[in-house]
Amino acid sequence: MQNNTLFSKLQPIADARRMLDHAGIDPFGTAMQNIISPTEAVIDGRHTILVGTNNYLGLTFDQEAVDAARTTLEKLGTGTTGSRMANGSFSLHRQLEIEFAEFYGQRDCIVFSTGYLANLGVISALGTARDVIVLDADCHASIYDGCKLGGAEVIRFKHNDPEDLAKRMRRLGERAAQALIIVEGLYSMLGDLAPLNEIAAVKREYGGYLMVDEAHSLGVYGATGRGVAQLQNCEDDVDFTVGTFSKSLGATGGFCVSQHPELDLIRYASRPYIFTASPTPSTIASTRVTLRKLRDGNHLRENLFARAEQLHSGLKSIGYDVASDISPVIGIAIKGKENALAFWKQLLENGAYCNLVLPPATPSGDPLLRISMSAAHTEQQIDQVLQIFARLAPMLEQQAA
Amino acid sequence: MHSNTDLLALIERELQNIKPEIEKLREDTDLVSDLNLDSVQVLEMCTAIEDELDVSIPVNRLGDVRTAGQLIAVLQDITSE
Repeated sequence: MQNNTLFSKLQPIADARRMLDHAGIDPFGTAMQNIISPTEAVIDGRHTILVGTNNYLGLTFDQEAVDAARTTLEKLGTGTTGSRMANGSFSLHRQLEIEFAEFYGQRDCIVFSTGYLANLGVISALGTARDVIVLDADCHASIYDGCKLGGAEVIRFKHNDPEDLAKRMRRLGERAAQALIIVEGLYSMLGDLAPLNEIAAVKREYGGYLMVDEAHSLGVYGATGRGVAQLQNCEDDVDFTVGTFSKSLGATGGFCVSQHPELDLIRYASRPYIFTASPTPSTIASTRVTLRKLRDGNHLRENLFARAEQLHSGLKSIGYDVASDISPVIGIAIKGKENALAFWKQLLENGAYCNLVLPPATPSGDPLLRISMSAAHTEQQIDQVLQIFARLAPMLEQQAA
Repeated sequence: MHSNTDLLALIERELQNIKPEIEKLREDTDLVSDLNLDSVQVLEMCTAIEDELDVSIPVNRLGDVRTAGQLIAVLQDITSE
């Protein structure tokens, strides 16, 4: 590529792609040829156990959800062909919003077309050029992008460090009282939880509003699966909860619930709500079913954590350096991009699929193998995955030597 | 009010804490391409400087910063507000 063309900025990506092609590895374009169950697929013609799907409750094949989606598909068609603001609001969308608000015990809810758009939509509407947002440095790209779209001043605090947050709030002076603090419940890379009580205490001291993204913790934590704020018993301090349908709810879509009556006005100020088509009716129908199953899903959460513990302690006993405490997300940092790629490829060829995340998307600067657990995993499947990891352990020992 | 020289010395000191092999810093030193800092190290350096000056540097202000001189200009701007 020539310098300074429209495409020259893509040169580093072209170089990285060439390296992957040369090595015969494509961790970012793995095609699932067939999905057999929430935990099994056919990849490259091989039967593979999936430990990297974010399908925390394993509800993607829930018969009642599939039936509801099919019936609705036949009754209401394949798509809404319009935005929520125009022809794309069906009674179903509103019904799901009411059900989400009831589930969270909050005044109201807005449903968005994806989780990414929920963050973009709410944050950009609240955080405009005259506002200030104080966020955890490890927040998801959708949160950063929402800040960019709205144009607010953005201040980062050190990951999961309430003291640093307090320092940043103090430095804001009077502006702190109207600042929007944004954190996640469960951080999706290393599987660590936010200390929400301590963060809420900072908010009580300096003022401001607290938004918690429970994308990865919805369905996973709390007595009825509302997330980390429910687990840590500080839901009253949370002003806005955002989340997604695309993990524990097994579909695509996003939501925001809040006690503030102003939430409803955000619809009219939110470009990602106004200028995109609403979720397809079948998606809403399956999500209404899986939301109910999520709420009543203590048995699912029990199995999810039993399997997470099995894999977590198994990996540790083999000698893997597991990043966090037991959670449905297990991160293993690997030194060196080439090592990480080779290891990931071997995992896949041995029949286990997980995610590979490369810097700058990782918190530490090292490549990360990211495993996510499902309530649908069986004890036997996790045993098989552990056997694969045990077989491949020498690859990483050589690297350490 | 800090002089540019003070701020340059501060940036140099904090950078050396992160990467001891860094020697003399000039205002036109490119923090990313000359010093080969990754995003984690840039964040670490900024946090140390922020604590030293007791300010927060908004992420939006860092977007166009490439050189030490540009970072000094942002710091001057923030500390004079």
